[in-house]
Amino acid sequence: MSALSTSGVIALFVTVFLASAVEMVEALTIVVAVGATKGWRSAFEGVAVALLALAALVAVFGPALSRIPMSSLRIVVGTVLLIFGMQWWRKAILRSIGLKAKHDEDAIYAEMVEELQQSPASTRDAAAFMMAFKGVFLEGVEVVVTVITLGSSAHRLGVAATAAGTAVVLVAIVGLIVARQLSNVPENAMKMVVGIMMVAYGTFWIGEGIGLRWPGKDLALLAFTLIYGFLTWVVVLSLTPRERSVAVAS
Amino acid sequence: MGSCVVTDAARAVCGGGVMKFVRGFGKFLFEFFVGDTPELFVLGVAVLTIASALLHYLNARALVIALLPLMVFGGVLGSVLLERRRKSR
Repeated sequence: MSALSTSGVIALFVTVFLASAVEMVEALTIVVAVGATKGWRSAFEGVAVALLALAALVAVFGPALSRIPMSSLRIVVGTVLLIFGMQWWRKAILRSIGLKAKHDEDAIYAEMVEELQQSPASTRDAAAFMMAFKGVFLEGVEVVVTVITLGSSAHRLGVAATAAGTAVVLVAIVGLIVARQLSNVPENAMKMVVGIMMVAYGTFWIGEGIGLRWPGKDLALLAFTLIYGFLTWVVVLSLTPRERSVAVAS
Repeated sequence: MGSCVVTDAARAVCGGGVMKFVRGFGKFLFEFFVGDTPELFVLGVAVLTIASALLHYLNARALVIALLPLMVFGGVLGSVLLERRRKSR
């Protein structure tokens, strides 16, 4: 099986970067809420333990995946990406057509602050620690799954890890600068792109895994992304209620 | 897990902890892959099974190339329409 071409590597980087950035924004909202309400000590301790747990996950599953035969790995990875990507894609469509509320970081922040304020203040706060830990760990697991599945099946674990690392650092820097203005991040648009790209990869790897040779090889990935993107645009346009689409257009 | 064999009480605590962890992890995996959209999980498995069967038993390469992305998009569209119908009730 050949390695990915340059366009394939770029697509891989963009997909992992966007997926990691979206998850990091969600994690950062929780950490900032915990830190600002209960002090940064418990928040950072929660983050540190979560990062250690994530590193352990990578250390266990990363090398294990490299021992699985490539065709089997691509079938498993393709199916996981397909299911995972379809969930993101569906949610983004539902949000675009107004059937699901958009992910509002401001509302999540306010809700968390209210919840945390109900517990008494102390230098070491178990509730704050757990909240920061769970926030970073659960969002981080999604990043780890994306990096390991996409990276290992494309033989580009380094590229995938670099993309995720770049996203983590960038979101952390932006988060420090804008602090509580994470709601300005166009999360639904990012989730839509990531969902479509994950499904494109899922379709591609399932085909490769069962022994199919796609016409155009890696270019099939681009074709899937464009076709799925176009079909999404048609679906969103035709399912959006008329008065809403007029308001959006104006 | 060495501490689990010291006393009955410790065994009970550790055993309970392990079971709780396994149950929690199972629930997490279920939420992760199935969640509130079991139809997408079934679709993912069905896409793999149908495409594989068509390719290996009928050698229908061209059909699989056309059908695989169509099944995927059709499934997502179906799930969106299903949710739309649920909400309009």
